[in-house]
Amino acid sequence: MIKIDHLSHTYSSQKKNSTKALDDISIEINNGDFVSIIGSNGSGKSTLARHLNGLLLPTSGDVWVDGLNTKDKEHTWMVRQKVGMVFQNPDNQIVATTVADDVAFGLENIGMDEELMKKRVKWALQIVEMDEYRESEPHLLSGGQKQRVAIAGAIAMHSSYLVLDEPTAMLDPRGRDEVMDIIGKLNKNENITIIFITHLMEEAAESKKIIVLNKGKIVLEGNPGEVFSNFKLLRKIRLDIPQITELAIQLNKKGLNVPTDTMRIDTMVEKLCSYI
Amino acid sequence: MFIHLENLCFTYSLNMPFETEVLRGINLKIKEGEFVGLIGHTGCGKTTLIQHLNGLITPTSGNVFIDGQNINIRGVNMKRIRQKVGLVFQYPENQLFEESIYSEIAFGPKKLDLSDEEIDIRVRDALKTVDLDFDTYAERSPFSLSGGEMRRVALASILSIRPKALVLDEPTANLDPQSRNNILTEIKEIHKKHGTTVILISHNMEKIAEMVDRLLVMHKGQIIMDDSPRNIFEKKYKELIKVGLGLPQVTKCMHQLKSKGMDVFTGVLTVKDARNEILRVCKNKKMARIVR
Amino acid sequence: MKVLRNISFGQYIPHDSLVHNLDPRVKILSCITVIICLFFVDNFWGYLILGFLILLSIIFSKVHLKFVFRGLRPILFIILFTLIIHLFMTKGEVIFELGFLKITYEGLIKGLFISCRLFILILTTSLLTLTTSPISLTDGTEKLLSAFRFIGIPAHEIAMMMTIALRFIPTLLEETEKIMKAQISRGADFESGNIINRTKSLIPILIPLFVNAFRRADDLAIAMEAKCYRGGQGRTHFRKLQIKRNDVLIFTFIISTTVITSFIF
Repeated sequence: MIKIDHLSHTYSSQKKNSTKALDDISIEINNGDFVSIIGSNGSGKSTLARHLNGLLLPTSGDVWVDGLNTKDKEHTWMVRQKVGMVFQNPDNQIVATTVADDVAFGLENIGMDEELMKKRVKWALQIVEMDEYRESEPHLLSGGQKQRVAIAGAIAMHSSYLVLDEPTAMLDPRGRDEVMDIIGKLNKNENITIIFITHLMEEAAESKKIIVLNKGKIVLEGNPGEVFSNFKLLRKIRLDIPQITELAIQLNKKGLNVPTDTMRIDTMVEKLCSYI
Repeated sequence: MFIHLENLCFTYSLNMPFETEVLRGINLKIKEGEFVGLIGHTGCGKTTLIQHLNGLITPTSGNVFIDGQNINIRGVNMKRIRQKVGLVFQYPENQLFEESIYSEIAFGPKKLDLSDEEIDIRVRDALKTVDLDFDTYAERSPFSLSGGEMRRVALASILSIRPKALVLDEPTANLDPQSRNNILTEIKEIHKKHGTTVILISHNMEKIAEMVDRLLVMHKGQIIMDDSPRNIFEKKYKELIKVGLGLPQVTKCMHQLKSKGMDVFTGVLTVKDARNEILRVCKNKKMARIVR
Repeated sequence: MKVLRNISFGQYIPHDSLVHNLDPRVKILSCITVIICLFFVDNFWGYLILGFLILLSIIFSKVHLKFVFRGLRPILFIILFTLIIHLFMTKGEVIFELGFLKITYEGLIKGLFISCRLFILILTTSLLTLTTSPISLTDGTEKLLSAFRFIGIPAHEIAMMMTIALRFIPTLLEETEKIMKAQISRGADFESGNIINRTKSLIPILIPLFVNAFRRADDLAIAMEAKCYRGGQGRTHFRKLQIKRNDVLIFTFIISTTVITSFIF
């Protein structure tokens, strides 16, 4: 379990005007969860992500990963093995000259034995369906493929938690689908806890729990249905709602009994057909 | 005819080991003042195509006419062509380099040998168009801005050369919803106010459907559809899905409703139109029941 | 440009050959040994033997001669230039005269020897990069340099820098091209004007490149830390280098040939 306990964070650049990047955040993430953290730019979502593996340390409050406090220097490396992280820019995470070597990078860092390393690398690449590209050079891959390599590198250490900070922001629709597909599989088949950061509502809809941040505070949390029905608040904090949800809201206003938390086309179609 | 592509073909690395045919016989005519959308899978040739419009790439065969002039014959003043057709690449903030935003936006006009007064007018104009206050931003460094602001400065740096045609490759990539809507509104304004010809490449079906009058669909180096968005999304949606492209959510919804027996018009592009159409059908069914 | 990307970086051409499969340390050391030997040899037979050694290596590497000589093309001009300088500038017994141009016997010999040296030097290093992948080269270099760790040489850090540089060169080349195109579209001109103007015109390319490079470095550092990177301490290697029988035999052969050649010739 990851326990975030009254976490606040102020960047040194913010000290003068006393704004906080994160303001008294408390969250509990259990094993096997699929949590999305959404918010517009400046909401603090990336800052929060970086606290989960100790890249940033709290100004006040604590972050516990499986009972280890991220502030304890002796536990930093253990925490980073448990919590894998994937970032937004597919290129700026790949450090080696071939795919397999990059996936092995983290394992080399923790001093893993060579034989076990080879097995792990193969396992990780197979899960993200990139094994056939193991000898490829990174610059020859598409964005979606690069992100999958980044994911493989993050999970190769058998991390039980995977934090993804807007992993699809720089990808085309095909790449986005590839990545979302793999993340779903990781959660379902490998029971990896997913913490997914995004500003796109459609992506958050895939998760079981959504936490909405605005200006460093949690303003909403719950399952997708609960969160999406608060469309007025979502719009106020500058989050875009999917067209289908917008349609549901408008139909509802005009008297049609369509739930305002509808996010999927097939749900909408079902509701409308049964209405007739 | 402002832009005319005649049997345009392009092959990378011609006669070399990695020869790849990217454009295969593009025929396209775009009138002045049109607002055209260009969609297609990554790798279909969109970016290669638009680079022919300002002479960055020369065709392997075929002709490119801009404002009546064949731009690939000898003696053509490429600078003038590039003033007529302004190209904004993906992630244009990657091209910022000047010390101040003023200088950045003045870069293009300076290369056109305009007077200082004229350059000043253009910079102020461009900043206004992208909704950035002159006094707040002019002397700041372009690198001190947020992602959305940098994108707008980059756009302004092309607007200041006052091109007759504006070609934008995914202008809203990786922008948060608010910034995205702002930029698209600004582009719409430019088109309306100045009659600028606009070619917009985007993966965002919803936005493209709302904004453009004419939609070009590319696949494997060819233009396979050239029609209004309404017609394409209503009648040719099956082919769109076959080439791996999607539809705006509401249009998809209407098609699914139709397949379940609801008599809805599927050429719907916006939420408002979808709502009205659904309500209309529901009312009719209610009336039918009452009459019975 | 998509196709520029398709050409793998570096001259490395993969094959399953005797030379390709040698340990990179053996190849690097052999290369160095041959080059050192080149400067000791002062005799036609010596160069012949070394030349034959290299030719043998090329044959065993199964790399097509045309690729090997491609590496020579840029240096051809220098070799020719050196030859001509020595032909006409060396004092000695004149064997040919054309107006004020004099070719001496000593000049001819010296010119030929130096050309031979350059020739063999380039062939040797070309062969190294043709038959050794960038990763093997960095791994081999790291292993060799780590022998000098006790005198403070940061072997791991050097190898890490080489790896990251090799990884990013194609990406940076692509980015340079994109930036150039964007600036040309705004009216930038990189071709006309005198040398000062042309240098100035590089600013719109270099500044964005540098700014982005620093940003990349920042991102990459964070990503590396997230994967528990903490320097070379305690690191293991995915690709383990192992000296095999072939390595020992061939290295011994090369060392003995070069040493003997140096002494006799």
